[in-house]
Amino acid sequence: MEHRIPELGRFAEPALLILVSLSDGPKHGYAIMTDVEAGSGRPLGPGTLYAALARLEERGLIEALAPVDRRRPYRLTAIGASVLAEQLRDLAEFTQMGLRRLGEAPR
Amino acid sequence: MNQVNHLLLRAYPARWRARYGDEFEALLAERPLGPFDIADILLGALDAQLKLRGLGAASEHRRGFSMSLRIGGGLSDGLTIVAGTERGVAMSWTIESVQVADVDPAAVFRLYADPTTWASWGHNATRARSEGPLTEGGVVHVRANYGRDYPCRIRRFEAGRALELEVRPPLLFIVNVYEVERTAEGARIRHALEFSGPISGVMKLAGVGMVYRRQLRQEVARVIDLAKRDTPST
Repeated sequence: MEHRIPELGRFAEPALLILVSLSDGPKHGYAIMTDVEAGSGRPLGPGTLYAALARLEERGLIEALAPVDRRRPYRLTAIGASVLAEQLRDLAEFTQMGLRRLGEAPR
Repeated sequence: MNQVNHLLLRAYPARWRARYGDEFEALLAERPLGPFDIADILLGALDAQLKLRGLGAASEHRRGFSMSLRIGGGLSDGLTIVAGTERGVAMSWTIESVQVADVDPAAVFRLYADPTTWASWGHNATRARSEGPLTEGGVVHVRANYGRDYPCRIRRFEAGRALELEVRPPLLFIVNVYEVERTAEGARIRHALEFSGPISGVMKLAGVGMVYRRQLRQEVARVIDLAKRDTPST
């Protein structure tokens, strides 16, 4: 696929977390940061956030909306949703394979 | 905006700030910044600077680029940016001086197009000679202030409008940009230096840009002065 997240190299992980954060609706930068931190338990720094946002935007996976009080929300595009779904399916298959090898049944 | 946030934002390229600066500034004002945030922002700024051309973070890093900006990423790994690309530091940065003056733009361009005048206004030229009229792909031989002769390849020549010269000192690639356009006030003059190459990042970190920025301001002022003298008063 043309827009695979792994092409973002070291930003693939933050990018995936951002896409998941945007999957339930548009959010501005700070809301993404707090959502990612709450969901993953790890902080997402402002520099990393915007480096990943810029890459996602230029690949058409997210798009910027009109700013509200200087906060600019971003939302998932149709391509972004498709890429995210494919990525999550790949991860799910990988998780299941790992659990099978450990002798544990996937939950 | 507090001073720390302002300084952090200034670490990003101007074009990046033009696109993301306002919302990024709003984000930084949301909560006090900790050491992790500050380190992360500085690495983000370095990432945005690591572009060869184009809009800040919109540029593509080459395959194999080593970058640790990630959740929980280590700072020591982040520093490998400096040697992490196939051609060394893939950092490109630009300084410029833009001035608008009541001067004939044609007189300004005559100075650009005549290498024999460069020593009188150029920031690093004591002599310049061309083997013919300036054309794209041609070469002008310039003697620098420190006495060394170096060839400048003409990469852009738009009559009456712009001249760009490439210079390749060791481990650097420098583009000298000279642009003039007519405005209601007279002319808008822009001189810029674009630095890239293996040691360009080190030069930026060493503050070389501040020195050149001052020299460019003086250079533009000299061009304006000379062009005014070349323009018959009405």
